[in-house]
Amino acid sequence: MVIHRKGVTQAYWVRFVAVLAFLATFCIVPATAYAASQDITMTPTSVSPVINPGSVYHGSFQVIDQGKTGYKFLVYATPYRVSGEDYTPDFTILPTAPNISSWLNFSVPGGFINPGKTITINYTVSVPENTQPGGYYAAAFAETQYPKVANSVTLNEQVGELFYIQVAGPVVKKGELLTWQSNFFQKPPLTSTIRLQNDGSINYPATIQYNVRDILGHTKYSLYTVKELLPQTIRRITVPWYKTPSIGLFKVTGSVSFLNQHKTLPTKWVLVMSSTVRFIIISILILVILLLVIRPKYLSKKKKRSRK
Amino acid sequence: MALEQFYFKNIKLVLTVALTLLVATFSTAVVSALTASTTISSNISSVISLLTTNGTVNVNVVPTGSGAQTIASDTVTVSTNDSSGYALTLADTDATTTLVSGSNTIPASSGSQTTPVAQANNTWGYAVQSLGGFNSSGYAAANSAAVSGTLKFAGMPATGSPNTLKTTSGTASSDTTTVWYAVAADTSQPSGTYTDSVTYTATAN
Repeated sequence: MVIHRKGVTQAYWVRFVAVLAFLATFCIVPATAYAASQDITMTPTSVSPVINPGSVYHGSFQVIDQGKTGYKFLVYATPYRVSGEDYTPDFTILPTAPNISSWLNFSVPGGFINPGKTITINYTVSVPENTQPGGYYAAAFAETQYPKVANSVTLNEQVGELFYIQVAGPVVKKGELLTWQSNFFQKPPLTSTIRLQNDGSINYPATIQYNVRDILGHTKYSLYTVKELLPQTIRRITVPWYKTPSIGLFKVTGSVSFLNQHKTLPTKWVLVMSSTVRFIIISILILVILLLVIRPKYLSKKKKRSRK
Repeated sequence: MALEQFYFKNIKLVLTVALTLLVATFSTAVVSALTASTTISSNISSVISLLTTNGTVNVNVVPTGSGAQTIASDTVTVSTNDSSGYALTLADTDATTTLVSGSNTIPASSGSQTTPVAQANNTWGYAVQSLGGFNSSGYAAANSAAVSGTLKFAGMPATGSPNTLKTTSGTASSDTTTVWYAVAADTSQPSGTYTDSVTYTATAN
């Protein structure tokens, strides 16, 4: 009986270890990702050539692998436009618009890049004859080509260079500052909004300087940014200060420069209170009010009792 | 005459004064040359880089009759010195948004980024915490667990109409975004190795 028990125990443990090994091999792995990471870098991030109709512009960009594994990559071009005031990028071909990506030709369609290496891709931008002067926009992408893996979602990465092409000739440069908003009462993060319009036929850069100071005048947050505005669009630029404290009174100032105009944004005062702080303050206020109302009544009752 | 006599008598003195003047003149010239300014010019190129923690995300499921859900994450890291910031988007690599295994497929979730939905059986989707209509908390890795009725997921958009995951106002240094992927399946889903590819895109903003 004892021997039988021992035999059962040993068999049990052998089975248990075998099941554990099976689970460790086939079942624990699935929810984790195992493939090596790919790091793709591109420089520069944008280019603004001025090209005559019928001319060819020569340029180059670099693809850099700053990671620890090499990978195959593909180079290609797409049109570039935006939708909505938030400037959601759109790289699709519109049947009704000229396909600017066809103007771009690359020296190679892609390749294999080793870790720590840089590959220079030469390109040409050929502007057809009789192209109307104005702004034309495209993007060049370098995309990793990772092979599909069974039972997985394969993750490819692509980085792009934006082409703000100006076809030479008479163009209309026109823009304006539409709104500058920073509400007085806010929850963190303190957020301000600037809306700019481009009424012209060519893109222009808008330089924004934004500052948040406390009541003593100390700078708590500042931002310098340059935003491109595409023709016939309105762009809403939202500036959040992610490290806004839970409570505070802040002075928001700034300026916007575009098309040889410099506009100083009117100073805005902002009172920031998080939901927790608001709850605490409201609770305290209610307590104070209750005390102010109840205490006199209590005191008067007490006086009456003492008189009696 | 008297002047000539003075010069001859004091020839040493005259030479000393002349030499001193000469040295002083040249010294000034040398000092002037040393203080000439030189302009240092350096053009720092704009760069943008994109890195994912993993080349793939495994979302294997052991299905059950009522449905099982596997959730796994990937972290995307973007860096740029472009003062315009960056925009990060996500889309399927091609026009087919289903997970494919031969002739069998797992369709994308019916939810969108603005109105994601709790995952239905035999669908797959993605989520980014606190973005759009996604939950503000609760996303965590799960391996063939019961399908969550509260966690919301969106279907992967086809290439060409990507969803924006993040936009920034200024430069970014190793800015991370965690993307959750989920597959829910019940026993009616044919077994097989289902795959699909998605593409993260980072451009200057």
